[in-house]
Amino acid sequence: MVGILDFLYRELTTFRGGWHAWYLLALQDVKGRYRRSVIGPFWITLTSMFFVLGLGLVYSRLLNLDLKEYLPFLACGIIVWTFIVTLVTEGASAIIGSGHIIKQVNMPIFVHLMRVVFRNIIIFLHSYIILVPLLMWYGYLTLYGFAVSVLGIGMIVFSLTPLVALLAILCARYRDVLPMISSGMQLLFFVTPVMWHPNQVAGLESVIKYNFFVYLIDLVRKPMLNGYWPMNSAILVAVIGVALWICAFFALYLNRKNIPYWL
Amino acid sequence: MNYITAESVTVDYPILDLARRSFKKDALSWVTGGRVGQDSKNHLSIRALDCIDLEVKAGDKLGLLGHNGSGKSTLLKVMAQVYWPTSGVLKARGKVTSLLDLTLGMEMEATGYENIFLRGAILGVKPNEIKKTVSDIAEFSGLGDYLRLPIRTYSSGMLVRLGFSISTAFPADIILMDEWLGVGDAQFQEEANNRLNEMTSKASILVLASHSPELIKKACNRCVRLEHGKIIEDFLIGEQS
Repeated sequence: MVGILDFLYRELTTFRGGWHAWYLLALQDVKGRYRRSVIGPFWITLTSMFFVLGLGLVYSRLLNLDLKEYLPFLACGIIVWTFIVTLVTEGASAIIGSGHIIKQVNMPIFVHLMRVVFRNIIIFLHSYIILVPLLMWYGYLTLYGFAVSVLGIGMIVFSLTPLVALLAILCARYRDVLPMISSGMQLLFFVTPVMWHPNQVAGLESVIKYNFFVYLIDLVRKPMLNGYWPMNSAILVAVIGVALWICAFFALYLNRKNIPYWL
Repeated sequence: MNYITAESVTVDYPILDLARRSFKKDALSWVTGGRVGQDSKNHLSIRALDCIDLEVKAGDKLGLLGHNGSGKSTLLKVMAQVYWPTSGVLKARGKVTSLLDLTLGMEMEATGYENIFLRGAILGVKPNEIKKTVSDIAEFSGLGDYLRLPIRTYSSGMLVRLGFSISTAFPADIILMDEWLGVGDAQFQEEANNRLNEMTSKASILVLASHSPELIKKACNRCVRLEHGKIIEDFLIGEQS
């Protein structure tokens, strides 16, 4: 019992006194990616802008939809979805990726996980900002909506961080899981209302209902587009988030001795 | 007081070969109650340390002697609390600084200054403490304005100099080393030696793994000889000769 509390305390120092380690490493990761480039990480902004505009223009015609309705919906969905996918897939390889450090220095495992999480938050914020002018242009954005969407981002991070921890442990042990996750996320994309509106497709209600990621997207898309806070989704995400945190700590505690040997 | 105690520490490295590592096999053995995948449970492993009993007290400068594969590095990593003993207990108190990989955590594209902070973060030092030592590190490494350049432009000697200067900039209770560091040119070598001597004399425990008995005789006051993961000799250096 004392062991698990000590372990818990040590892992939690990642968020209290030990945040600078992952903060620095994550910042360096982003800097490293765009070093010597003139506009640096704003390439992310440009890339997602072109992507959203291109996709919006083509698909609104293809699906015979009003651009004013479809483009903002698509933009919110695709930007949040991209964040979720990269966070989950990169996070799943966080322990494998930090293997050289784990095998040399004894640090809380959450340092390595938070490095990936924080790196992805930074990258996400660079594409998130294009939603502001876009939604203002179409007249959707309210100050309240924007403020609560930030809370929504916080909740996405809160609930995905432990999920990523669980996946990272699994991926370190079973090397087949990582490709499984990437293809799984690809598959999930098609059944998640990102490109299409739930109203457009009949018969997929249950797929949407039991898809956790739909609720995550809602936490940002609803405030940004409709200007209200989806309380039901928020409660669900919070509950699942807490449960995932408990599972993640437990899984880490059980596997703490084995992780270095798997790498 | 700082100490390291090992009580019958055994380390087995599992060989997670393809058959073992597959999720399918494990899932099958869960589903079938362990009947199908059973043979793969007895997976191969390599015993690196075999029932090591060792007590290192404050003031000990312990040298580890042994052939390749005798378990020196594994023992160091167990002491660094990276690898948990497969069985047995390791207890340690004191801030451990491992000088096993001096450039761990450093990024080739980042500048020397940025790397001071990165390496510091890996060593578990807070940024404001690192800030205080930056000028000291800059001076000792002798890199001067080079610190503003990305470290990929450094020669390998300069790289080790930087890594060494950062890694030895902060006080430690327990220092773990794999071979005495041969860094840089003759002049830097001497400075580095002085600094290491100073640092290890301040630390209460030094554990140094090496192939060279002379080196251990010079730097340590106690020596443990390992063979096939077992301690076959444990003596104080002053007494033996």
